[in-house]
Amino acid sequence: MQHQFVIQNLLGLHVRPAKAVVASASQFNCTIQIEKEGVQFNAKSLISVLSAGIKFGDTVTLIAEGEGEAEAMKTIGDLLASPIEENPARKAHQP
Amino acid sequence: MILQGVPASAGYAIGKAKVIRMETVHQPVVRIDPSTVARELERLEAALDRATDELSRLHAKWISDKREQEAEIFEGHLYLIRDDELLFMIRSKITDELFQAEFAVREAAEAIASRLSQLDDPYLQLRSADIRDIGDRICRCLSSKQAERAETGSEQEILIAEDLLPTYIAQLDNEAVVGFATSHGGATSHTAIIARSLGLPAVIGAGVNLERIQEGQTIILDGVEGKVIVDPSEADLASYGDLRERHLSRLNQLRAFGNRPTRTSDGHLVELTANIGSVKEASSATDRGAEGIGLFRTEFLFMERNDLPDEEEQFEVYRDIVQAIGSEAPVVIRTMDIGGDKELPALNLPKEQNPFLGFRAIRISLERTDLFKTQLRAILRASAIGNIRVMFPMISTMQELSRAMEAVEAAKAELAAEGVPFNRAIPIGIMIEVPAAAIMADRFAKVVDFFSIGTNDLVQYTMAADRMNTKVMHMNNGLEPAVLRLIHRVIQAAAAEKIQVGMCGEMAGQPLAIPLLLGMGLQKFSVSGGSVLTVRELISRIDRRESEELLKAVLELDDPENVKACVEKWYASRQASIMMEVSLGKPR
Repeated sequence: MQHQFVIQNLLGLHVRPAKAVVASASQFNCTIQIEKEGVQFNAKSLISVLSAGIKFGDTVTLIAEGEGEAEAMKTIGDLLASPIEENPARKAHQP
Repeated sequence: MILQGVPASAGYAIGKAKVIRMETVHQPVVRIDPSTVARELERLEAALDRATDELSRLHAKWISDKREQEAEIFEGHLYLIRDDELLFMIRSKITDELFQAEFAVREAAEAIASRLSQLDDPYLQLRSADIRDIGDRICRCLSSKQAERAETGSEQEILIAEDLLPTYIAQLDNEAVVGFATSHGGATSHTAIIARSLGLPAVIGAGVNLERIQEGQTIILDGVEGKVIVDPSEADLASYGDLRERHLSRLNQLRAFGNRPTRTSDGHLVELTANIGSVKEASSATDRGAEGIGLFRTEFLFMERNDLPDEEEQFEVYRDIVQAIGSEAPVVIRTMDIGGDKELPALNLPKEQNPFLGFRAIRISLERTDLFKTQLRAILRASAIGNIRVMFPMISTMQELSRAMEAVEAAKAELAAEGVPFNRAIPIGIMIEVPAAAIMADRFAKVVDFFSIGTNDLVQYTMAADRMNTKVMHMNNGLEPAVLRLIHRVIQAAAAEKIQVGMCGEMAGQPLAIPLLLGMGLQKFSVSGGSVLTVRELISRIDRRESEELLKAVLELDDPENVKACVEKWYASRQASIMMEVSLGKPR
């Protein structure tokens, strides 16, 4: 099954939000791909998600196939369509 | 077995060998038999477990040392090593293409790394270096070679390696490691410089036989004569134990020179500062009697990491140095001097045929104006709280200098507009380390506030002799008449414009060069932290007018051997030879 989502995180799927997506996807047994502009990326791989270069406002297709696909679609879809980082302020530097 | 190397950092150490292997050799393409696929996958899993363990331990160590940056790097690696895509690719290369595990790991890491490096996102480009690093680590675990980083035990250890990275030495846990020996490298390599500033005895360039030393063998390290004694006799252990004690008591004697200005015997005052590469070294430099920092090598902020330090991080480091050394003491901050033998992973610069003649130092800063501006802003901000001076490395032409000075003005204008405080009259100086700049010193002296002669590069560029190449190292000699004349001209050019001139190269701490430099009128000596007291003692026993006479005689000579003999004779005639001996580190 597949569904389209518009990315709501202001900084796009940068490291921290991408980690959240990967962590979430890794809980499921089904295969989960994120498709952007016709290219599919493995949602369980940080390297893969990061290399998709997904930005704020991009439309992506989430494809889940196999055991628990409906639940995966709901969980990860909600994440993609949410502002994952509430306040993307610059990381404060600790001396 | 006794191995002869180059004495890189004076002192004696006795301990157990700790053998460090930096990297595995590149594996050839090896295909496996289909029947052994399962076994190969098992080897892979075991190696992954081992690599993960290593990373967790390193991560925990940096956390407990409060080194957050380092810890963060390993945290990232821990995450990436379990990446679904990376593991999938490695496994399929084993099962489908029948690659041996080592080769599969390397191929997969390389494929992913090169894919990342082609993306637009600079952050992801940097991650490609992490992926390669992870690949190397897994391969090392597959071939059960030693990890690159030493685990420090309770026993006194002497590191034995082919070569050691300067940053590696800088990060050593000083308590267990009492010295090191390498088979490669020369006395002016950065590794040696760091060893001296940490007061860690070291022998480098001891030759390939060093690699036959086994883990745990007893080693005597003689950083004075450049000897590595493997499995020493009882007699050796006793006599070196004695030497070690005497060396330490000599160091105690020198402490008397800790808190006083540096004057020649006829009362002429000179400035004696330390060269440092980290905040840690700044504190130890003050403990060792330095009057300030004559050279802060900022490249250590940029190395061994995959991103770039932002303005805040740099400012905090410069501020910490001011706090360690005091707000009155001069601190010369040199803008980054990357290139040559110092690599900068974040910029992903291509390997060059001739790195010392290539894209490095100010040449990078003038092109990567974003990096340069960030650094200048951080330095300027620190100038509000300390006696900070800014210095540009590797300046060759007046045009480079004026572009660099324009960048300073632009950074000042920005800070002024933002209402951020800084010292508007911050002194600006240049390193004189390229012969072109030395020849044009009279012109440069009209524009800048100070010169600092960087002899390590000036000597190698003037003599066209690589300081890392053991075959031509003998020509890399500051006592060569050509070098002495060039330095003399630079000092005269500075005097003519009444600007200050110092030296921050190795030569500033060499007993054979010091009277000559005093004779030339050098005002500032910046040496490694460990040499400050010996240099102060030495200068206190030299009469400046006599050193001018010596210089006159030396400038008549054509042969560096004769120069050396002439200075030695001069010392002997002053009954100061014992003093010179001890300054060279021989407590006999």
